[in-house]
This record gives sequence, structure tokens and C-alpha cells, in this order.
Amino acid sequence: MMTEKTLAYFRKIVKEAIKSGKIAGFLGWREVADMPGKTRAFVATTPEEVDLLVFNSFSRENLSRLLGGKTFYIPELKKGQKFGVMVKGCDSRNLLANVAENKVDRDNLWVIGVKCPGTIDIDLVRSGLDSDIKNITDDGTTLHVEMLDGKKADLVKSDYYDPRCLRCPYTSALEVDELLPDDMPKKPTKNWEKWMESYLQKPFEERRAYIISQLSRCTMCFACRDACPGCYCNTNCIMDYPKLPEPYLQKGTSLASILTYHFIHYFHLSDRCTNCGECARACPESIPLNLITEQLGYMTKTTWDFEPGTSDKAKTPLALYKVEEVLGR
Amino acid sequence: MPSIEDLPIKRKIIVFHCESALKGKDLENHKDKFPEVGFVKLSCTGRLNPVVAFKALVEGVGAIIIYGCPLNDCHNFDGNMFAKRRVFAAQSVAEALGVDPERLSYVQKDPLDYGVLTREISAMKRKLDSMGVEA
Repeated sequence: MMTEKTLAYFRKIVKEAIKSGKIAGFLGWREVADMPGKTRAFVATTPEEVDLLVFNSFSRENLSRLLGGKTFYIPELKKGQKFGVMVKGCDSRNLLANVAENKVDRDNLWVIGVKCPGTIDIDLVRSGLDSDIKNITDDGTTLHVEMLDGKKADLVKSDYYDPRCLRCPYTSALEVDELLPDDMPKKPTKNWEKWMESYLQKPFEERRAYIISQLSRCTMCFACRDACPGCYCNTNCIMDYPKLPEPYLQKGTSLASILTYHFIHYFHLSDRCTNCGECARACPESIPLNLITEQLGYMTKTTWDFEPGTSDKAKTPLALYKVEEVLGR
Repeated sequence: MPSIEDLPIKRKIIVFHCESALKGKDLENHKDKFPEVGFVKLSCTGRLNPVVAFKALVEGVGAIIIYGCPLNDCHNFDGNMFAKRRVFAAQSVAEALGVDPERLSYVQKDPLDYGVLTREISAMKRKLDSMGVEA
């Protein structure tokens, strides 16, 4: 959550930029009516619409997905005009990764960064309550929940963080044009590398049984692909071909097809995945897909010493090799 | 709902080889020695999409061997170096998805040692034996 002062400052600079014609529109989050604890992506094009923009611990969607190739939200720009966007830590890494692969023209963007206080998993909050939520507010340490049956509850915020936010080391947005003042509460962090090492020490058969029992629930709805900021083949995705070769992939019927689909998705992302966790968030069957991406992130970091999305120049490891490798040293 | 029993393993080995690394008399000798092994010719191992290899693994092929040119001697300049990294990434994804990564291997021809591929095929057969795969 943002303090009133920062929110007013943020809206003021966006309004000024829209009025002066510096930007054609601004992509941010807005609250959704009748859906407490949810926000959605929104493009403000007039100063009045800017008053709808918010940023709080429920702003979970990764906006850089909308600037890639998949869904292009940028309207037509006049010469010298830019398009504004607000990013938190994980969004900024995905934006940088797409800039490094020339999928986004960084010169057309005016990026405002925030220091992310961590997001709240609203489904986790809902699962612990008897009734549905009517209204939810966050004061930094406590969640004040008002329920439909009239009861009220105060929940400790640290129990309801999204797991991906607890392991995220990049709270502050990287390489932005303007960084909003840091007045948000700090989030707890845990060492995910240590956790990953202890996970990888388990026997392979145990890990295999767990992940396959989870993946067998997959219905191949492709929500993980649609939510992924790194997947940018907009119309050329093999899964969208109207006539799939029948024995090659059968949608949602056999485990072999499910595993092949996930292999295609995660092999394409194997050296570019920034571990933003959007696939696990989008999954309607709550499959822990973050287990797969975390192993890939660990592999990329330990083998090639590369963290995707930390630079807008670096090539990804699968597009490179070193001279020492050729000489067999 | 599909279950873990839907992934049977058959006693079948496929070698994807570079057309420059394995050809002529060498290829015929290998085919005579291992009549049950399938040999698939590629222009370059750097052009193999690992999805093809993974698809074969989950459809029941026991093991996949990718056989490329020697280090520093690729017919297409640097295709084998990309293949090496790509197969490593494919193994990592396969492990994360619950498919044994040791069933997919990448070996390179050695100009001083003509037994590399024979030894690798024998090792894969022993691995399938130890996994309890029946004929």
C-alpha cells in the first residue's frame, strides 16, 4: 500500500504528463468494483481517469506482459510522444528481459517504478474465512477484513504473503525513469537458494511422484502461457494451430501430452525465466508451477551465472558459448 | 485423470546423430552391431529441437543419445556448442517435470577414440536394465 502523499504525488506527475502531451496513455492498476482484494490492468488516457489508478498489496498482475508481443496495449504514438507504465520489481525485470530481446522499444516508454511491499494472496485469505469478503483494507501490518455476514476480522499480514514475493530478492524496480519514494512497509524475505538446495537433495523418485501427481490435474487451458510475460509468440504458438497433428498433442487427455506442452513452454523459457510466478498465480487448478521455474532459475544461476532481466543488454546463455568450452578446458 | 502409470518405458534406444560425425562405413558398422537401435540423421545437432527428443521419451522410448561433432571441429562452425548447452537445459527441464534426465544424453565424437558411441549405447542398455525395463 502507498501512503496518501505518495499516491497524490504519483497521480499529479501522471496528470501533468498527460496534459502536456508527453505521454499518450498510462498503464497501471485499478480497483475492480465488487471484487475486494483484486486489481486489474487499466490504461488511463485522460486526466480524470488517472484518479482511478492505485497501487497496493493486491496489485498482483504483471503489467510487462501487456507491453510484449502478445497483447500490445500501446496506442499509436505521435512523434516524440511516449507511453507510460508503472512497474514493481518483478515487472521491471520482465520488461528488461523483453527489451534485451528487442521485443519492446524502451525509447517509447516512460517507466515509473515502485518499491514493492510484497503482494497478498487473496485466495489464501479467503480459504481461512467462513464467509466471503465484503471489504478488505491493509494498513501495513494487519489486514482488516469485513465479511458478508457482518463479522469483522483482523489478520496478521505476514501469514498471507504470496510465496513468490517472500523469495523475491528484487523488491525495487530496476532501470526506471522515475522511482517513487520508498515509504512502504518492508516485507519479510527468505533465502530461496537454500530452500531450493534442500529441495534438490530429496530423492528424484519423490520429487517425480509429487510433480507428476500435481501436473496430472492440468487441463491444458493455457492460462500459464497467456499470463507469462516471457511468452511472446503472439500468433505463432504451436498450441494455437487450429489443426494440431493428432498423435503429436492431444489436448488434456494423456499425461504425455501434458508433459510435452509444459516442456515446450518451460524449455523456451529455460534461460529467460525471471521467476515472476505469474504461471502459478494464473493456474486455475493451483498447480505449483513455481517449483519448475525455481529449478530453472537455480540451474541458470549456478551453471551460467546469469540472472535474466537484470540487464537490458545481456544475451541469454542458450544463445552463447564460451571459448573455454570449445577448447575443452 | 491421467496417472503416473501412463508413462511406460520400452526397451528402445534412438540415436540422433550429425551427418558429419557418423557416416559411411562407421554408420554401417554401428547399425550391424546394434540392430535394435534407431539411427536418425540430422544436418547438425545444433538444429535438433529438444522437444522432439522429450516427446519420444514420454511416449515410451527408453533412452535418447545425441551424437555430435568433436569439440572445436564442428562441420557447421559452432552448432555442437549450442547443442551442448541446449541439451543441458532440456535435461534440467525434464528433471523438473519428473522425467529422468539421465535417459537423455549428449556425446561428442572423439577423433582418437572410435568407441565413444558404442560405450554410450551399452551404458544406456545397462541403465535400462537397472531400471527394470523389460523387452
